[in-house]
Amino acid sequence: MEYTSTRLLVNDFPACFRFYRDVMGFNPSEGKEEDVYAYFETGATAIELFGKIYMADVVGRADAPATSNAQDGGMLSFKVDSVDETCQQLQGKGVTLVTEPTDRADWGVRVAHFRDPDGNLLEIFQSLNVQPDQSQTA
Amino acid sequence: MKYISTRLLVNDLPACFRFYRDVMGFTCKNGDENSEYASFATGPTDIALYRRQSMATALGEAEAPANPTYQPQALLCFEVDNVDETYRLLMAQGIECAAGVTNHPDWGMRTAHFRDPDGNLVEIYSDLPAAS
Repeated sequence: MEYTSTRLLVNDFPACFRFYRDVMGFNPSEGKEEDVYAYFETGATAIELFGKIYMADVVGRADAPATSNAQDGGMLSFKVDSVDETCQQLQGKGVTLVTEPTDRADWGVRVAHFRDPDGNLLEIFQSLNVQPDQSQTA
Repeated sequence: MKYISTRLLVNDLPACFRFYRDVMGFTCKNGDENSEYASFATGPTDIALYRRQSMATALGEAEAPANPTYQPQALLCFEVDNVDETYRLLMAQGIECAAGVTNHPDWGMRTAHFRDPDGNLVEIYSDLPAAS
């Protein structure tokens, strides 16, 4: 059982396609802006985009509402060298931050959050120098 | 920019913890059933669990509804050797089916879909033989 990809099921495919290619800088090895499916190489697990209604149809949720203002159900997390520098670059490309770069001592990371054009939650982080004790796996 | 983990923001962390450890069979790296956070080694990218309310609080979204039924927003995709056999083993453990084993010639895949205890959509697939 190999974790091969995270498939984001999006309402606005062209905007999300441009975001993952141009803002996040990943290479789309499959798919184009006018398609309904794309595969981005990330060097780790792949990120895929797929039109939300197509997947909802496959799993019998086509009649459910497509958008919500509910609490987030998932998040993609990316490690960067400098949260502050990456945030500047992202903001230069029109990204609005959800949370500014913040030291979260309890998480052991400096972290910032933003959203893709479909509202999916993304995090960038760098480790804080003082590592939290992660050995407590009772 | 390295894709490190997918963090599922779950309402029922203990049930999801047991699901990813016992049903999916991944090795736990951090946390346990009772912790606020847990992560699993799944390959190049980890799957992590975090309490949904805690993340909503960190983002200032704590007042939003936690558990509505909408069209799925994302799914986790796993390659397996044999979709039918893996799916049968999963269903024998009482897992909630979302869509049974199906050939999708347009995707080039044989797939099955099910849900974790929090309702997150999971796909298992193997490639269909290339049409000649």
